[in-house]
Amino acid sequence: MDDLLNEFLTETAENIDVVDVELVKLEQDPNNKEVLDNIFRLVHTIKGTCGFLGLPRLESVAHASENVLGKFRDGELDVTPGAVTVVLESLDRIKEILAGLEATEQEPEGDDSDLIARLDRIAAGEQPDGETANADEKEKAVEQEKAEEQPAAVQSDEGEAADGEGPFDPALGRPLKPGEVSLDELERVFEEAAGPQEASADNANDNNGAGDAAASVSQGGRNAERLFERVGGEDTISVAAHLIANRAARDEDLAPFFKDMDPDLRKAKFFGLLTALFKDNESAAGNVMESFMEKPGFEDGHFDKLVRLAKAAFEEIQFDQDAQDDASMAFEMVRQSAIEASARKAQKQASKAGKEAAGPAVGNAGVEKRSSQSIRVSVDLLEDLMNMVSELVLTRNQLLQMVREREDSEFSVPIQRLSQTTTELQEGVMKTRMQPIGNAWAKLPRIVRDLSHELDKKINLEMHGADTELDRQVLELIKDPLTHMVRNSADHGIESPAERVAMGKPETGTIHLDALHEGGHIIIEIADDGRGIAVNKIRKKILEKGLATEAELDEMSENQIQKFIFHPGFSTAAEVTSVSGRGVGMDVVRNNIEKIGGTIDMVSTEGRGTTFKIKIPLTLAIVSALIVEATGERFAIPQISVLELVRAGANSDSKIERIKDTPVLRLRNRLLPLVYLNEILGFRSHQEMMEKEGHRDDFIVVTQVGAFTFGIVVDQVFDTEEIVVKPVAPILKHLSLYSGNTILGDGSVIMILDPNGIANVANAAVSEEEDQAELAEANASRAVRENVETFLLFRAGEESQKAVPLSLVARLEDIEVSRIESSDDRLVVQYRGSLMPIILADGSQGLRQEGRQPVLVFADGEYTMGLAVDEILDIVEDELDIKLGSERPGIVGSTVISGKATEIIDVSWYLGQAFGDWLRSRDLNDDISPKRGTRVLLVDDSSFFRNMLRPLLTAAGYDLLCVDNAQKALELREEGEDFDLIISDIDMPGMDGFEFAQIVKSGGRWKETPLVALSSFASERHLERGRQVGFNDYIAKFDRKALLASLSQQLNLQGDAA
Amino acid sequence: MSEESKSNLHVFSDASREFVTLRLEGQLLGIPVLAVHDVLSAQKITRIPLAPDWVAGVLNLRGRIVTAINLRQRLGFPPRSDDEEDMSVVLEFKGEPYSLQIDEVGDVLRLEDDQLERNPVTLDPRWREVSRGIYRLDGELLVALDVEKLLDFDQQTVAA
Repeated sequence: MDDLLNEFLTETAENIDVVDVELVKLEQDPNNKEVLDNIFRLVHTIKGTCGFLGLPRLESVAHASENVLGKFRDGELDVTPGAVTVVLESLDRIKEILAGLEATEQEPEGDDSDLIARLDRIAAGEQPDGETANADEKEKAVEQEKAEEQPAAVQSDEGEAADGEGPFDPALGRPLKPGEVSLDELERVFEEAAGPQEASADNANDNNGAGDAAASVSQGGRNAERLFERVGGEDTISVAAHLIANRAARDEDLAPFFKDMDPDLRKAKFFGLLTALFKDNESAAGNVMESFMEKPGFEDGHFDKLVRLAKAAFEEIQFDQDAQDDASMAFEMVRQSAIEASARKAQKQASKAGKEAAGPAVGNAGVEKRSSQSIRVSVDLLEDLMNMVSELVLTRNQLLQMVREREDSEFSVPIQRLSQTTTELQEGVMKTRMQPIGNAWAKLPRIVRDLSHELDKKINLEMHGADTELDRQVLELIKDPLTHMVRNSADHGIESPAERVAMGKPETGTIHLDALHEGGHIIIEIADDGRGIAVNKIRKKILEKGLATEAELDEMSENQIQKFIFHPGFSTAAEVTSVSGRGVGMDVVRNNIEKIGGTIDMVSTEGRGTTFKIKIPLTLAIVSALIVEATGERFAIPQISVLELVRAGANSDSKIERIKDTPVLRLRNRLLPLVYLNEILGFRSHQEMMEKEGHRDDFIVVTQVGAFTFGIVVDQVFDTEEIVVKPVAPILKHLSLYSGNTILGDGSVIMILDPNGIANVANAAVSEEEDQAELAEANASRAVRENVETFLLFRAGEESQKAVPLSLVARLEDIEVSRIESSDDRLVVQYRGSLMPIILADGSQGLRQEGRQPVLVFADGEYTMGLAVDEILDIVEDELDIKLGSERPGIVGSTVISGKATEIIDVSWYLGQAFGDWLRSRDLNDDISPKRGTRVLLVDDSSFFRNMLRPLLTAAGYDLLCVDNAQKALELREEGEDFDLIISDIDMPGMDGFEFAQIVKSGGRWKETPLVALSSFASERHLERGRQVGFNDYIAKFDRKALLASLSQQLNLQGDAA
Repeated sequence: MSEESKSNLHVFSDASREFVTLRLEGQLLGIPVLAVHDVLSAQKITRIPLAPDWVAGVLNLRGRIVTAINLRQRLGFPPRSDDEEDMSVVLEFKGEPYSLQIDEVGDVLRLEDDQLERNPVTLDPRWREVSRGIYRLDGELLVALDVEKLLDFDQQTVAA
């Protein structure tokens, strides 16, 4: 491809991207002059270059949008979303044409007249898409009038404009020509063109000579409307300039002065001259006029002729009489400067012209210096450099190895230096490949803006850390996933303004984009404050697609279910081919990120928003890796995922232990799951590995993938080495265990293991583990809320473990099976002097045949019962967080305890089984039995009370959350938590219960939530005050029954009301 | 090698073509000489666990990582005993270097096109897939291998 064209394409593509972003900025801040100027300049540059290269289609589109931008800039048009949309559309068209140009080196065929016409209509002051026009009515009328007049003027002009010009745009009144320049450009050029000493001379001239005439004209101009507006603005002037320029070149008297000039330049100069004159810009007009005077001998007569010619032209394009006169008068402003400039030319021609050249040269030097600070280098060249540096690193490694082997080598010092230099070179070359991540973000504001218009949403895109740099290869690879995710956030995440307001959120949704460095990684966070991922919907879809069974889902945490969006096959897209940014599922995003050794994580809260966190390595080319061995073969494990190395063996503190066939390692305070590298690589069977164990030392590489930590057991560990990652051959791509291969210092090729792949192969349930690890983390952070409960874990019947809050268990007993008798078809045992009924925790399970039967003893007043279980497992502390309710009698629901799905048993149901009258005695319990998942918030500063009420309410089936002060409760409200009922203590440090109630009832999302006060002072006075501030009920502390009854009553009221 | 010469491998209009001859279990095979980048004596090959069994492994050719194809396996010959050393013929396909592991390399022969016969219909499908035809030599037959088909693993299901 033509170098020039190539450069043009690159540059224009960059410019267009910038304009995209800037336009969106402008729309948000229409008065930002700086942004507007920048846009105008860029579009102008595009147009100018197109003209230069002879690309008429591009140029006409660019021109039309420049026109609109020009009017924005001059304040003639308001920046409206409608207008910006059309301008953005024109940029898209330009991109399209550029793409065609890149492919074929030809401008693609196509018709832009519709787009141009729309742009022109906007330029003419009409609002697109029926938006209300805030433009001045009068101005609009003028524009329209002019639009009607123009075709006639143009027609008459057509015959004369026979010097091979391009199509005449009627609405613009200007021929679209290569090399056309805007007025401002001209002004600038002309002002610069005049040398310093000349300029001062000019000013003097203006003041002396044309001073009087100018003064009178400009006075008139100031009084009335400016002539510029009266004649119809830029467009009309353009037509006039066209006529005058052509005629002046043909007029026999004037021709000598004008005909040698390039016709376009001539027209442009006349356009500049007229505009300056009509805008009363005396000095600019003078400069333009002077620039015409290339030749000596221009005298009064010539000037008169020119004015007559101009006047004729004005008449022809139907200036009104006054305007004609004023316009001709305006020419007087420059008479003097024209004649004097011509005279000067004569003098200068007589003397030598040498001095002249010096002026501009000096001016240009500064510009050149600036531009030579950076150069454009092709990416291929950089890639080549990188490859060569990679080779150099390899060779250096080889040399180092050789020198290491023989001591006292004379080479060691120079090689050390070589090594140092190589490292620096490597870093340097790496740096050339680094690009700010903002480059990958450049398109996002536009996308978000378009989406928000399309979807009628208000979305604010906030970007931080755009200058964070990363390797361009990585950048290219994450560009599409990022775009896709932001699009998703805008499309699915952020709600409509109405919805948001209803949710108590600000109308405008926000998408945060953050990038930062962390170690050798870059972390990118995409967070929206939208609706989050609806677990229910995801569940439904999972079931629809058959990705998991209902039962499986029941055992999953919400986050686990939400993460199904990353599941292949979850995407709605019919076929996933490439990341085009549209219709591609999150699984492709995840794949792409994992392909470059990154990880993606997601946290989503329904109603609060979703946060994606991406962690990717800064560069892919050279990484530090640990070299390990399995069955005589060496492999590399990227150092980045290695946490530590543990040596396990007979003589070591650490030892591999086993749970049935599963090897684990006790690592400080936790159990680390292990995989045998030999086994997953197919060198040895699991059996063989286990047999070998203990007879020799094993090395365990503790590896982290996402939140999942596991150990890889290897035969031997060597040192770490800087390796150059080379992709594996395409025929090996499907082996997920390898992320690449490399050549070591000794010249041998080794495979690089992919910890992600190992984790997947070794443990299909990794993602589950991962989630549990996260859950544990989440639990840790939530511990502040004191939601931790001590559970007794046991097994009865089925495999899954069961749990009961330890606080409900009176005693644990081991009872001789023989002592358990059957009486009245019920199992009983003599216990502490009375008969205690024994209930089987699992109906299908029988008692043990012999030996001792573990029994949990529950006591409630005079009622004592024993629950026979198979095995008591453990006592653990965990969050009481019922994930799934259960319809099965005797089971409250399921939760995750110590990483396992666990059923929480319903003690009251068993008590009911044991004593027919227990339930009757607990009539209350019947009506307090709430619907599953009724959430209750308890605000009490006393930990004693919280602990007392927790088992009570939890056992009663409430989902209880405790906080120790009102402030924290209000924070929960801010976080968007919802409760069915709130119980608050009255007497609390800081904010007391009354104040809290007032705040809650005064508005916000808890306004309608029933409030129950709990106080040790239950006097009439307190009761009254409590009712006043909004408590629905007032209960004395210690009155359990009353509390439960009240809760039930309030909830029922609530239910009835709803 | 330039793209042009590579695509010429298929042009039959040449009256004669040059082949590098290889031997595998006594059978003579031919590869167009222009397709061959290198011929190497025994190389250290790194095994790739879990890779298809016709992938012998990877080797280092002057800093490039070359995927070694076990031609015996590919063509259904039994593996060689361990003490015999393979030779490698390095080719390039779609920008990736591959090496064919063979028993030995013979001469370069110029063969006339009219010596070329179609594959016998009874030929083992594994062979038919990768053979462009058979050259009748004096006292011996040479199977002309189609390098592209041999290495285009996406297009075919390699017989196990």
